[in-house]
Amino acid sequence: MPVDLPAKDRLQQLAQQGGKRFWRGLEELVTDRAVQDWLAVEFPAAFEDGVARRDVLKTMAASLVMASLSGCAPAPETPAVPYVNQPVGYVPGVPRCFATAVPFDGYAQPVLAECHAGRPTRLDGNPQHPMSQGTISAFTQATVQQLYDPDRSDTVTYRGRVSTWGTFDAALLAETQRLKLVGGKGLRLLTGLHSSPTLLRQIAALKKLYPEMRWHGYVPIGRSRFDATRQAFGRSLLALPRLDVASVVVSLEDDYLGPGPQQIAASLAWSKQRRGSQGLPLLFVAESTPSLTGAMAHRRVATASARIPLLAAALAGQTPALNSAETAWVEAVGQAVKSNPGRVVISAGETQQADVQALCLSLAHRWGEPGHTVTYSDPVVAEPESALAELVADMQAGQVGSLLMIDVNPVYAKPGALAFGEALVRVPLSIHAAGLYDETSALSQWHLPVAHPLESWSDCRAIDGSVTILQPLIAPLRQGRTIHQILDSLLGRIGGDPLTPVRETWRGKLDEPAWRQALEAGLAPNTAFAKVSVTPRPIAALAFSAPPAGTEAIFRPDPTIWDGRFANCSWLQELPKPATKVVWDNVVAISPDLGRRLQIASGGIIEVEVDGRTLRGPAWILPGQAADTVTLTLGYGRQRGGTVADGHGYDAYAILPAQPSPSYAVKISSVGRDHHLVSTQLHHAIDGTDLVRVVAPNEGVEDAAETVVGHPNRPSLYPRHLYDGYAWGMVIDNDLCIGCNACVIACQSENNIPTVGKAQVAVGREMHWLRVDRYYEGDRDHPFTHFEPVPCMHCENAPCELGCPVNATVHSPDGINEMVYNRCIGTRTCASYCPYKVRRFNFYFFSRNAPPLERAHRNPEVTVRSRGVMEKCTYCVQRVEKARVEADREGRTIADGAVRTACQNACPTAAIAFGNLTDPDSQVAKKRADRRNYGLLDKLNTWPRTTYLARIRRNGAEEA
Amino acid sequence: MAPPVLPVDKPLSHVDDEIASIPLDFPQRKGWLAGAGASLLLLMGFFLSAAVLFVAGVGIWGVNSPVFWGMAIMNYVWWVGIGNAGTLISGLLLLLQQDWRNALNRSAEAMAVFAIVCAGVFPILHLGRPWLFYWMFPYPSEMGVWPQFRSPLTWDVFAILIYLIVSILFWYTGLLPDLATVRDRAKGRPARLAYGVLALGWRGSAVHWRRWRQAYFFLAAIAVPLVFSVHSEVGMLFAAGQQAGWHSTMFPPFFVVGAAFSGFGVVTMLAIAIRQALHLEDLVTEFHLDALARVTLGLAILMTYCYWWEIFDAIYSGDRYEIRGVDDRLSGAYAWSFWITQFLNCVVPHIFWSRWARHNLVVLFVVGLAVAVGMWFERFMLVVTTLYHDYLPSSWNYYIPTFWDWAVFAGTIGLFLFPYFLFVRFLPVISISEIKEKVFELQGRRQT
Repeated sequence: MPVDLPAKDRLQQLAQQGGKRFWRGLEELVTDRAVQDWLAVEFPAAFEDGVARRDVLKTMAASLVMASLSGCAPAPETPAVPYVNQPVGYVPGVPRCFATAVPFDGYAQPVLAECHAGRPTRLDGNPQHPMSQGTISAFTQATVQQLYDPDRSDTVTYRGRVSTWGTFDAALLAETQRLKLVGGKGLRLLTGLHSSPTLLRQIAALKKLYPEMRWHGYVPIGRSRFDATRQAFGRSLLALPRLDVASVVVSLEDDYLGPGPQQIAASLAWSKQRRGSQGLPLLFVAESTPSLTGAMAHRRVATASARIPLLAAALAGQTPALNSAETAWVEAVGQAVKSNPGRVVISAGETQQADVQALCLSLAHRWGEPGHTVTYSDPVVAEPESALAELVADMQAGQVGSLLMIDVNPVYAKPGALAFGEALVRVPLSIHAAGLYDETSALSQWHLPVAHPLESWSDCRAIDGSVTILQPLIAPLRQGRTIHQILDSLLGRIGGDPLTPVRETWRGKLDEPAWRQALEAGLAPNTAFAKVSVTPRPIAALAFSAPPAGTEAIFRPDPTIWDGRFANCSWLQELPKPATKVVWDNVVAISPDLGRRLQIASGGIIEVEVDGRTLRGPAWILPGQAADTVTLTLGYGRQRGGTVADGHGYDAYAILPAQPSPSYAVKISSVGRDHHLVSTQLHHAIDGTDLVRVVAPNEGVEDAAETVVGHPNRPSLYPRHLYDGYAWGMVIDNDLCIGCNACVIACQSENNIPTVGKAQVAVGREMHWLRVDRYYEGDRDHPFTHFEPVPCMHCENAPCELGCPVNATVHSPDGINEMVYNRCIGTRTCASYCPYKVRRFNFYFFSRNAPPLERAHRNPEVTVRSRGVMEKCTYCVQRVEKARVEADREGRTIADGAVRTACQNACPTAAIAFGNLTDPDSQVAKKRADRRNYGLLDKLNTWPRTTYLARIRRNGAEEA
Repeated sequence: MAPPVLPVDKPLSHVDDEIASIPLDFPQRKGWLAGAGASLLLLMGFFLSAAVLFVAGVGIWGVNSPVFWGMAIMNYVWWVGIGNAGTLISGLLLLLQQDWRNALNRSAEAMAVFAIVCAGVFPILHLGRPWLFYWMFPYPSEMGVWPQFRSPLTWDVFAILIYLIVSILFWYTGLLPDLATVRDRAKGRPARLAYGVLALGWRGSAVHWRRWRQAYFFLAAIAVPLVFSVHSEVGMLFAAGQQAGWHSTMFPPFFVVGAAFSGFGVVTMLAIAIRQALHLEDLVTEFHLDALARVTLGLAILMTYCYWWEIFDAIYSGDRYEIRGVDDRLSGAYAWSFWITQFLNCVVPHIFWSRWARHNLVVLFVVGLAVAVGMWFERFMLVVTTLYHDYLPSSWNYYIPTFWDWAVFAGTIGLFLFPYFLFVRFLPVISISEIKEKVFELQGRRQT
């Protein structure tokens, strides 16, 4: 009997109520009219005459209780036996670390997961993996929050109703029987991009079993390098510009250092070169919208995306019509290329057309040293057979009989011009496997909960091709199956265990010791791809044409929630976007020039029209944005993204045209209303002060901060602190900081820092212990951008310590400015006196009201703060103390590098050094002795322990 | 020679009749009920907003980062300042033998006591965890922890507490002979009993008078240094912080002057209200009001000097942050608070150069009010303009008081006014014994 829609909707509604989850009491559920109707349909016997209504309710209540109990915790499948002897290697209270990886658009992000009592609580980079070296991006760290997301779907559903894996298995079995008879005709698989050998093996097996099956793969915003490498070299390749050896790097809108799956590897390489040689590599960037790479540029030109081909052509020696700024930039690049033969890297962004990318590939081959400044290997991410657009066409043509969608959300995350949702409801059998019950689940017949990567056996390749075996750190919390289990059931192996498909892939390739070693190290030996040497094909002159006059729109994944997959992650929602510092919203970035012409200020609503589709979003005047460009970011405007995601921002997908292009013609107009945008930084000018310093290579700042601990030459009324053992200190190299925010999330994750929501950030109550300040230098249209991470300065002569009436913030014997939470009464004097405003106050119970599941990823080593208490950066004192205990037990001193703060650990450019200042050989003491070392607001006589190294900028001389 | 200050033509018992009859046979019952009822409502509002605050947390206020201190601190400073003038009038002028104070000191002392109570609640309401306020006291804790003695807040606690105790003692000691007078004139037994208990058995013997005079002067001698120390201490609350706009050695004297200034404004308002409501024109004469106006004018000039000095100090320092702070005060987002302060505190009182204004009750009242309001805006300016733009532009933000900020403030006005109404109703509002003494002296001088 068909279920009437209201009942289904009511259940959905109940399931999606935030805060108190699901229902307030069984009465509410059972007495709900719509639900009763549904029950009558489902259990007609119970509603027959002669049975009292109360009995029915009692029966139902009991079974609902059973149902909810079974949902609490998955019972182990094998009999549980308590320990008789403690397992080897397990000490209660001591965290254990496991190496695994989290896939991101097909690229493995190697991680070391810290587990407390069987719960993964935080992710660090895997130090043994060359593509991580212990560092980790903000996105990857936040996946641990996704693991414990209370919104994750916890059951199979069929047509929106709760179902079971068994029911699904039975349905699938019937379908596979049918498909086998027709050779898989009409069967389609839709995935994201993958490099997993197991997944690719399974897809190959599927193709064998169902010869007519087709595999469609996509990422929401059309990005591809395959065509370009085919044009340039005649085959699909992965070309890697080596930022670690190049002296000159030319980026045509290629955001190496920006967020994305390759950020960590690129940042590691760039910083290696930057550290080794003052002010190198010379980074030339041409781009339409400010990126992190652009912020690091030696010379940046803001130009429309549609004009990038002109710049490429000019670099290749053609003569397009350029404006003066572009000409000057091209000449400067030419100069640098000439004086640095064989040490030049050039590339164009993924959104640029294939011929522009191909031209840059051949230029890189010509100007650089192939195999050294640019290396080639087989593509890591497998190229799917077919794209999303073809699938939609086939669905509309009725050629798709059954569609399996794995870990994608094509109803939401796809160009608005593609009517995927409408086509989906006409597909006879649609199966959607995902972690959240999202927009696509709502329109699919079957929704299957997928196990989180931290709950799964799988495998994945990093950018160098090396394989990491993903191992589960916890049993699936929400009855999820791994993607390999789901594919295996399509292959006829229904209900198999999660490990078998992965072991099968590696049978014969990794024997038992090698397998164990791969799991322990997080890296399978000898799996990296070999370098390939290529011969470039002759490239025809670029056919360029001057772009039409008018304004262009460009689409970018959001810098903190990407294409929307992280939208339900409060850490990332509350993470200030690097360029705008806006939180919980996306903006339409417009240039200061455009703002003047539209007579609009940041926050004013503008209407954007692309290809006849319109949307409204808040404008943001973004210094450095190319004059006639607007940038829209994807991932917001969710309707079924979860309690955190829904209702924030605008949905840029809605107007994204189907045809991939670097930019689109756009009409914009001011609507005249205002949107309440929330930014953590309202003022951006350096204001003529010396908060961020810039020096020429091999030069120092005029007033270098004192290197001697205790500052004997500075005046103070109070007795000095004396240090004979340790004196912890930190040095942050502004020259290396790319503003990627990895440190901010690392700090948040390590120190149990709560998120407070948009309304609280709006009144200035964000809780980040570490913030990344962003300042502009120069004019609004062509500014230099500076990033400056600001943790607590741990002042030797701390104003806060003077102000506290109850000794709640005190100087430790090793110089840390400590917060004694349980002594704090919340006078907020310390914060008022703090010149750096790094102290954060619990204006409400920010932590206590978190859902229970979210508390599971808290770090048990760090106190959770209550209402009315001040908190701030502690230099990760829990790590210092842990190292001290270990050293004391072994009767030695703490070695340099034994204590690494969370921010330091995550930083992909190693911009943060931490250690003992009394040890002249420590890394931090050496950095402090650098002539670029300066203290923030040092003139206030606070004697900060956190100091900064000035940025290095080469002037004029392009020769390196 | 000044015009006759006191009713020397009438018998001494006239003073007793006029003042002691007020609590026994109150002349303005309806007016009193209306006023006391309104202030009781405000007081209820105070309890409500304090309850909401304790349950929800200080997040209901507009405080944020970087403006971690908000209206609680402003109101605290404002109320302490008002209290200050009470002690100044009664204590300092007593020691200086300024006899014109006699008509004003009782109500000024009452004002001081109730203002200090209002001031005292704010540091507690301000706390993130108000139930732990006692941690600021140096009590013998089993954990062996003490307050942090470098903190101006610790000294604030001592200062306020001592000030409250001394003020109450001083006020009560002064009341003793008058309570006995009321007791003696009371008709009903309950009233006689109540006033009798309060009068502590005062019989008016010579020994009583001698002891009383010793105690009274002794307490005055203790109270007077407190006038300066308490508000210097409050000034240190700001000056100890390293914020541009606070970090200046002039803050303690600057705050003392400001405190006296706002207090005189309120004293003037209260004196006029009592005088008119209770028909005490012959005791609170135009001479008294004229004296208040002159002091107010003098203090206004001193305040103006302080403001100018503050600006000069900042610019003379050459420090870019200090100079930016001045610029921000004069032309920033909260410049209105500076200019309101300047107008109300530095311009308006100059009307007192005119004798007409000094003798016009409406003008006197309005200027008193202007000074009190102006001093409140001064504290707003000091707290907010300094904090909202401090050193790092990245942390700049705005401060917008919420409904609950205003509710608590309005509530403390009830907390001040309601006890004050009780005082007016049940206690002698003017010092009978001291007035009589003065009248006696004047009469004696006439006879000889």
